[in-house]
Amino acid sequence: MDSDKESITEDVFPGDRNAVSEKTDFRSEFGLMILLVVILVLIVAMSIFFAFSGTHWMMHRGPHRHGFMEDPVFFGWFLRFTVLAVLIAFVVILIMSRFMLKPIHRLTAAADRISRGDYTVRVRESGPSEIRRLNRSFNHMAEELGGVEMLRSDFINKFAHEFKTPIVSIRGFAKLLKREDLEPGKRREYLDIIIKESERLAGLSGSVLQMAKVEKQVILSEVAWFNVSEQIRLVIAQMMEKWQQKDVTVSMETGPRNGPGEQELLLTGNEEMLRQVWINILDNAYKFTPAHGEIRVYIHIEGNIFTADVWDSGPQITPETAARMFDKFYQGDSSRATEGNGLGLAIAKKIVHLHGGGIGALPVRDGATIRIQLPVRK
Amino acid sequence: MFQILVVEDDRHTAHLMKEVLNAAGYEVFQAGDGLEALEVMDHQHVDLILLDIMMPNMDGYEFVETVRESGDMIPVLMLTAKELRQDKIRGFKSGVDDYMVKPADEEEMLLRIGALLRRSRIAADHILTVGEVSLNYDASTVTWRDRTETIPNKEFLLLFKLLSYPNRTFTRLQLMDEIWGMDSETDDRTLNVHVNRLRKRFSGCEDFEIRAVRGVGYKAVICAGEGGS
Repeated sequence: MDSDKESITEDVFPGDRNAVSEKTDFRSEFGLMILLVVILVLIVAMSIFFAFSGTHWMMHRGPHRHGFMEDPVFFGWFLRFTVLAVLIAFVVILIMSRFMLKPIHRLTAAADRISRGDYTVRVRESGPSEIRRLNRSFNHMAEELGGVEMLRSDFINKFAHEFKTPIVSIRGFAKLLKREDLEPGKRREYLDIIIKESERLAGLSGSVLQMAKVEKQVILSEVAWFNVSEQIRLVIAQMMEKWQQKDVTVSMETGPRNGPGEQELLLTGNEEMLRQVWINILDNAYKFTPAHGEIRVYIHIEGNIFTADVWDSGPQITPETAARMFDKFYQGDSSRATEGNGLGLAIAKKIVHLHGGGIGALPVRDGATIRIQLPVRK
Repeated sequence: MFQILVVEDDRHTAHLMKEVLNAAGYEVFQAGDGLEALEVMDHQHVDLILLDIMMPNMDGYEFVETVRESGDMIPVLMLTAKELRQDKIRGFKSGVDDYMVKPADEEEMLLRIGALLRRSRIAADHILTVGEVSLNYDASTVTWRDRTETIPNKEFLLLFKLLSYPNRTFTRLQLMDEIWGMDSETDDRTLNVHVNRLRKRFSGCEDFEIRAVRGVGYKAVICAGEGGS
């Protein structure tokens, strides 16, 4: 059995021999499985023996009629059979453990390794087909976990930076404001900066919560049919209440453009998540719309694709920006520089992808359009 | 002068609320948790409550439930760091009238407080006034330039709804559901007709205007004096 343990170590953690010995329960090697096998083999051997010798004994029963256990010949054979049965049992155990128990132990050790944070572990995809499939799933899982982990730590680092940066400004400028001899122009400037950076922080916490909720999802949950036309209208109505400062004209059109169509479009998806997509995209549009500007929303279904185009009369989106604006924490180049926190579009993109759809900036002659497309499942 | 009770356990936040509200012309009373707040309300008339959720001894949810249980319909604006959807739902279920997430824009907070106070007065008196126009809910009458006339029920309800929430856009479906009922057979055109009739009726009125937001819905905009949009 010791050689067994060594080969497990080699397969799972090259070079690290100690890990297994502290984790493997020696008793598990001689557990229920063995007991069952021993009993089974003994029963089988005994039954064969008794059937065989019983018949033999009955045919050759002497006149003495003492019990068969006292018969020395009988007893001798009985003993031999028992020993043979036990030996067979051991052989069977050895074979079984090589083909069944060992892969299970290997997998157990690997899972322990993962639970301790090492996502680099993989198991050999060999053995009987069920084991092979199990191992393959395991490796796939380890890969996914490894990927998410990388995203997570990268995200945490970026987030810490995004969080600390405004704090540096707020504290720094506040201290500067304590100076008695500060000119009024500078005083106003510093105060404005403090306000701006505070708002950035305020938005950040909300966005990160959203991002965290959405980031770890791989499968879409709570999918149902809902009226996306009305949903977008309600989102627009709600956001317009906050859009008092810039006097922006908002309008929405439900396609098709070349004729009267159904005004209430239905979609399947996670209603709450998609609502967040519209909020984030419209929020982004409003940020870049100048005073007295315009925002237009156009939605339609063609075939089994739902399309929503959100256009604003703000500055154009350059190809460079278009390629990166949906990245996390992207703050935009000078043409669309923003005081936002760079997560809104990234969150929208993640949600849209979860739904099997796509999102991107459309090249338009003036203004800027963001297009979202979602599959309409029958 | 309206009296507002601020229920908040963080000192600086409470101080900030007091300063902002005072500057806006409100008288402010303070309490550090739900229990204290109930005590204050025993001795003092309050017009509106500004309420945090996470407080010791008695949290925001429990406080509102207690207040509502006693039959008090005082307007409550929940102002809290809790921003998950289920927190909002729980808030509304326990009886708050509006919900804002911290950190909240002070201006927006003042606007919402104003709207809540206004609606609470309307709810109490059943009378809504905008400039020279006054709507009497019980009588379905509109008083304008010293003339009082009864207008058709659906028109009245539509106008009352829009003016109760000035500057808020309502979608067609929302208005049709609320005024004609969800099971009714009316369509878009009925709503359009009613809006046009209202516009014609009040075409000379300078106090408000019903504006369409194309493809979205309608809103009532207050002109001159309260600032339009």
